This record gives sequence, structure tokens and C-alpha cells, in this order.
Amino acid sequence: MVGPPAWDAVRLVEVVDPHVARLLDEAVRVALDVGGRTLELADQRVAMLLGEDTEPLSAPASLSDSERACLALAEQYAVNVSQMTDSDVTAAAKHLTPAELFGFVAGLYTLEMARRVGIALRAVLDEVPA
Amino acid sequence: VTRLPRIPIPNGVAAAAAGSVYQPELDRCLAELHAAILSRTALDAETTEMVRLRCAQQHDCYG
Repeated sequence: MVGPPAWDAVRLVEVVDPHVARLLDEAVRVALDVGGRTLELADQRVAMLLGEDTEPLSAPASLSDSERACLALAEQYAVNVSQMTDSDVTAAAKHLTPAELFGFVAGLYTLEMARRVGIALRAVLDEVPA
Repeated sequence: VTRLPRIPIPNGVAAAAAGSVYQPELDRCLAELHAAILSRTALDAETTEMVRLRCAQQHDCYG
């Protein structure tokens, strides 16, 4: 389960801005509901790329073609979103409806933002990562 | 790399509002979150602009 890091970010935002924390909390909950297992896997991959501690990733053999395409998209998103190529998106779009792809990307945006906010606030607030 | 929409935009819906058609609840949450963040004034203008430019560079978004 990859929820705790996002909730950790919400907890840290609560320290500096309770209203924004409530809105971030709601966005994360809805994102996880929309994105499901694929988004959770993507969040784990993003956490690894950002150097955050996380549980081991699922074995590659357990991933569907759709999940593999979405994870590749998530990797590119986290590493350099401005260089996302058409083929990155097309590969995922082959397996998802437009609404599903929109939901995955919007959810990825939400969770990746929460992780980066958490990293920044831990540094600013001088907290030791959990 | 294209700057055109990569998913079909529903008929009669402006591109900026496509999210409200595809995932209305998540779109609403993000819109409210963005509005709250953008309304904050604790940072000075120079720092705010540095953050804005950094985000624009990260997302290749200068529109």
C-alpha cells in the first residue's frame, strides 16, 4: 500500500496550511479511487525514482501490459515530464479509454505532487523521513 | 513531442474543460486545490515568481 507517504505529505501541509491540507487530502483520496491498483503501482515507482523509501515493487511478471505501459509513462513523468513523447502516451492509450487515461495522469500528477511537497516540507520543517 | 491534445476532446467541450467531463470529481478537487494555493500571499513577489518560473520550466509550460 502506498497511501502513507501521501498522508505524510498531508500531515506536513497541515502544519503550514490546514485549508490546503484538507484539499490535498481530498484530492489524494479521489485520485487513488480513480486510479486504483495501476496508480498505486505508479506511485511506488515514482517513490523509488524520488529516492523515498517504499515497499518492494511487484514482480514484473505480475504486471499486465496496461500496467507496464502506465508505469513507463509514470517513470517519464517523474524523471522529465516536459520530454514526454507521443509514443509514451500512445502506449498507455492502447489499453485505456480516454477517461481512464485522463484519470491516471491526473492521479499521477496529484500523488507525485504530494510526494514532492512532502520531501520539500520535511526539509523545510527539518523533519526526519518516516 | 506534440502540443496538441493526446486524447480526444469531447464534442462541444473546450480543451480546458475536458477534465470536468472525463473525471469531474478529481478535476474539481484539483481546481479547488490550485485555487487555494494560488490565493496564498505569504511568499514575497520575487520568490513567488522564481517558483512559478521553476514550475514552468519543469512542465515546459510558458503559456
